[in-house]
Amino acid sequence: MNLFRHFKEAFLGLVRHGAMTVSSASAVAYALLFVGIFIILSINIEQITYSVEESVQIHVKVNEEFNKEEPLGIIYTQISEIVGVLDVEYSSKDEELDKLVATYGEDGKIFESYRGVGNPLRAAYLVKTNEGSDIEAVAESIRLIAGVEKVSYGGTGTVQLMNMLDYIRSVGYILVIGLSIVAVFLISNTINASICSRINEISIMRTVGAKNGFIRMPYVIEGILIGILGSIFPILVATMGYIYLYEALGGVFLAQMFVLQSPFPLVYYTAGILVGIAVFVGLIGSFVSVTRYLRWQR
Amino acid sequence: MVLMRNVSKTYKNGVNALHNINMTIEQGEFVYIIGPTGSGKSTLIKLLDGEEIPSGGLVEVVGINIGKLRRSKIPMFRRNVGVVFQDYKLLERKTVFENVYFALEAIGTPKLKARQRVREILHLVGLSDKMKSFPEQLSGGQLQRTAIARAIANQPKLLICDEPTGNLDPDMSTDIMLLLEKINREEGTTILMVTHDITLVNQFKKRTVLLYDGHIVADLAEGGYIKNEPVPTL
Repeated sequence: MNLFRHFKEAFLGLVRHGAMTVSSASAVAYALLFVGIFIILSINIEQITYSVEESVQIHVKVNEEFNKEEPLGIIYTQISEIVGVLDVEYSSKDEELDKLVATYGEDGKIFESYRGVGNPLRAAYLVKTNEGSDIEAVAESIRLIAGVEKVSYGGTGTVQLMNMLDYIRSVGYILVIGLSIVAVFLISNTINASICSRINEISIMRTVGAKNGFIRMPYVIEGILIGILGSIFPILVATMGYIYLYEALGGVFLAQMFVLQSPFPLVYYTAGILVGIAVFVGLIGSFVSVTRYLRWQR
Repeated sequence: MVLMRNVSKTYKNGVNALHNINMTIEQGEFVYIIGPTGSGKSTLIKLLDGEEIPSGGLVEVVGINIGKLRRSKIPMFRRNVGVVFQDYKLLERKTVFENVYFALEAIGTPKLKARQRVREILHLVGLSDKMKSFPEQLSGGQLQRTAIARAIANQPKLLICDEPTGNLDPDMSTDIMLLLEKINREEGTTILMVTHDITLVNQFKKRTVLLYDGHIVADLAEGGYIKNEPVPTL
């Protein structure tokens, strides 16, 4: 019964102080829009980094005379023992030819004539590392192993790309945390301003003997509602925008290697996080503001 | 109803607002507090409604020692004391009915009982036909009647009126005085009225307490105030 009254008062407060509601909700919306964009961005960078790391491997060509060796021979053992190596896979001369043919598609059939004893390709080991940043050091160590003819991994460009993605990811997280904190301050300030404009109302409540809980409750509910109202716009922009972008780009960014995170359930999580932040911030902001005022006055 | 014994009040900024005040107000009395600006009238009201605590002495209102009144107990205490302000302090966005109803709702009065009481009290103050009006649609006298209705809605034992006629013309002021007398008579509410309006004090003779520079310099049980009486210097 009482809760119904508090909700009614909160709604009336929102409507009757329309301008204040709009300005508070707008402040929430702007802050959360940036938080939303950075959440989606960070998760995608995470995904891209992961897929790049997944796809980057060291290609180790073995000398002709070692080709007769057993696949899991001495070179395999030596590579496996290097710190930072996650997985080593043997690829025979025929398998290497298959890959070459596949790379050129229809035109690749021309290489079929090499199949058999005259195959000029070398057998190879495909090495994956634990971390993208290990790749350069691991490649150097493999190069020193006897019987290794050539080590290739895309060169320093790959390492730089992965370092850059790592860096962007860290910056993204810092921005999300930083913007969330900014949102908290922004929202508490606007809710605080909204409460200051209604000190008259609160002082009348005190005069007639209303208890603090009774005075506080509609404001707290109002704060939560302002938060939720403010989260609608950023949720729509962030989720619809991402779905549109994902469709438009065909699920990848620039190259096949940069696979974007599928919109579902990502947009649901993002919307949930944004509503969560909005409710929390609205609740804390209004609670702190009213309580601070109630404590000043006898 | 009200007991003040050797009461003094010094604010944090060093201002001595009241000195050695001794006063007793019995239940059902109607008392004027008069005095020039800065004489301590507002501080006296603040002590009586629990907004301030005395620096020295004893203030007791409806048997409650204000000096020992904890913050958490203030809301319950306030339900015994109604306050009417010069500037009405009504909620602009609520109707007359809602403004009065709000005071009863705030203290948890059941809905039906509260609605019935609001109608009753608006009838008493003569605003039955203005229930649905908003404050901006009312005259000064009607605004003050609404404020009085709100203050007495929960039947407080003491009604403090802080310059209730300060913003009103003489006719409206007389109406308000007649209403306060009616409340004092019919509801048995003790009334303490702070005023500057010497005409009213002389017209509606009641016990009159004169404050000057934080001291009680006269307490005239028979009421009235002789206009040319020199204010004693202390």
